[in-house]
Amino acid sequence: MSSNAAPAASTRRAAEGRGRAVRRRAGMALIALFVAAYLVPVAGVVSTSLKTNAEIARRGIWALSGELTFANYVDVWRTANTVRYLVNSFHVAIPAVVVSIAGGTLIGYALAKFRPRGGTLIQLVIVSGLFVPPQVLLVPLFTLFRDLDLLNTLWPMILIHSAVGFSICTLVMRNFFDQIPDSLRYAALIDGASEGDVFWRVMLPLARPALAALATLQFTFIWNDFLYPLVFTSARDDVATIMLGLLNVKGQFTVAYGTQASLAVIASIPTVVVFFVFQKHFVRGLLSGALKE
Amino acid sequence: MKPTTRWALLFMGPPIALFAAIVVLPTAMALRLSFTDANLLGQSSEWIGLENFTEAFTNEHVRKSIRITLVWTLFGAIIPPALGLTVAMVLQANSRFAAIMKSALFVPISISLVVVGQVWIWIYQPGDGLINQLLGAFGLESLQEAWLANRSTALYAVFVAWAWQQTVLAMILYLAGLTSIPSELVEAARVDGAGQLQVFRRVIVPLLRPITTVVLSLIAINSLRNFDLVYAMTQGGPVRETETMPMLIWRILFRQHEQGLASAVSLILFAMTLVVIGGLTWWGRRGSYVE
Repeated sequence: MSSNAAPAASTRRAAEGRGRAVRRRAGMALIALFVAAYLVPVAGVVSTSLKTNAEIARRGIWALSGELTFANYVDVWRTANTVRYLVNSFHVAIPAVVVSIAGGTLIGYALAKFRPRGGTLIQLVIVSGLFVPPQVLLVPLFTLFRDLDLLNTLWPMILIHSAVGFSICTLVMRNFFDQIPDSLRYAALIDGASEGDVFWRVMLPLARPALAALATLQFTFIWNDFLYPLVFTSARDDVATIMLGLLNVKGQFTVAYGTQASLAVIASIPTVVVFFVFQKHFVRGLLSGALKE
Repeated sequence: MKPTTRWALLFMGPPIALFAAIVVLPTAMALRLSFTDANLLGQSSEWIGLENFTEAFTNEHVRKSIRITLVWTLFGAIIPPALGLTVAMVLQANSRFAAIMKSALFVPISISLVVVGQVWIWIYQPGDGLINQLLGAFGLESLQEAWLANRSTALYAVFVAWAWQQTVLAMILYLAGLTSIPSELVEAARVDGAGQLQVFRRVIVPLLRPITTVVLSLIAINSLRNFDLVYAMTQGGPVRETETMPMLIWRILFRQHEQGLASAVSLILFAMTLVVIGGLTWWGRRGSYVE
């Protein structure tokens, strides 16, 4: 029995070792392919942004040659409305990120800790906002903002992103505050703190990681949004956000690839930086938002 | 009034009012508009019952866009998650790369669909596009194609650009999920004689189910909302071959100015979203170990 089992086991182990080596090599090949699939397009845009338009016209976008120059960046910064676009985007993103997170935190905290009557219904309505397609809102909101004379201003985007953001922020913050024991709140109340103090001085500092996760999600989502600016501000280039600006510039200089690429890089820097700094929070935010068992 | 009720009102009142004004009321207004022949020029707004919905379900453009959106959602729920999970598992086995790759791959998911569209237009371009140049370099000129202008390739081309970004999203979430699986569980299964495939099917896949639910929900919502990329790459063309539902609604609203019909189609999209998400939630709960 044992004399039989030993060689069988050792050949199995050898076969397993070979199998592992093959798998390892296949794995490496897959990783290499994967890296190439992502590196090439990204590197292509960056390199195009660093070539002159004349050079691109002569050798094509993907040619691996030519002098590198920052001329396109200087050019885009000076001539197009680039600075205006960036300022507009921050003008929308910063207030909308702050309001959506503040509102979501207040609703989530109230639902989790004050447990008002009808709380379940309130949460259901707010969280279903996640599933309302933006197009449903566009139809009535377009006439609403037109009647309020807010078309071609930044207000529609600020208001919509603030309100729509309550859905995800409420979901995440409610789940977060549910995990914090009530005894913490009662202890502070017995010590004479008001409900407002408890929220501001005890609970909010604990919520910092969740707030960072939401800030990353919301900033990226709002910065990259393109639909609302297209619908509400397409008539005036000076109120365009950077994403709409990218398309406007594309319309103006159809073949100036270098110009387009440098603007695309500029437009992507803020979200790439935010992701780099907060990458762990981003993943946690997405998973905590939906994992609510 | 109980004091906590008063605090709850104070906390929730203002944000709920804003939410009602921007989300709840407009949704109700869209529902009302869908039963009228309202148009953006404000000429009339007669009650016409279900006519917009019968129009929607018989109009060939609406039907085609529903088909495109459904097929897109189906393939979106299969291809990016499958690729993402495969790469995540390989990366986890080669943990040396995992950390670097994880940081680097945040670049493709943090950039906007408008930029993604721009890059892929250059990849698909007929003359000096990357794909055609590579085909040329290998002597395969006969396969060169105007990928985005050809009616039979345009939809696939846009889908690939979209899947390119969604795959990374799936991969990053799966990588987080895989790291959270205790290695003792996998080892215990091995000791009990389970092979590689069995460990995958009986241990890893079930434990990843909550993550899969998140991945599929996010991807489904992104599929059903797919406007930015289509607008940036093809605007629904050539000859409406890539017209997803959001793209079509935009066209009905801002080219044909038909508010009533646009509302009806957008509500059909809303209903589809609720069905898909409801199904996914049910599926996720059913197999979950966590009660």
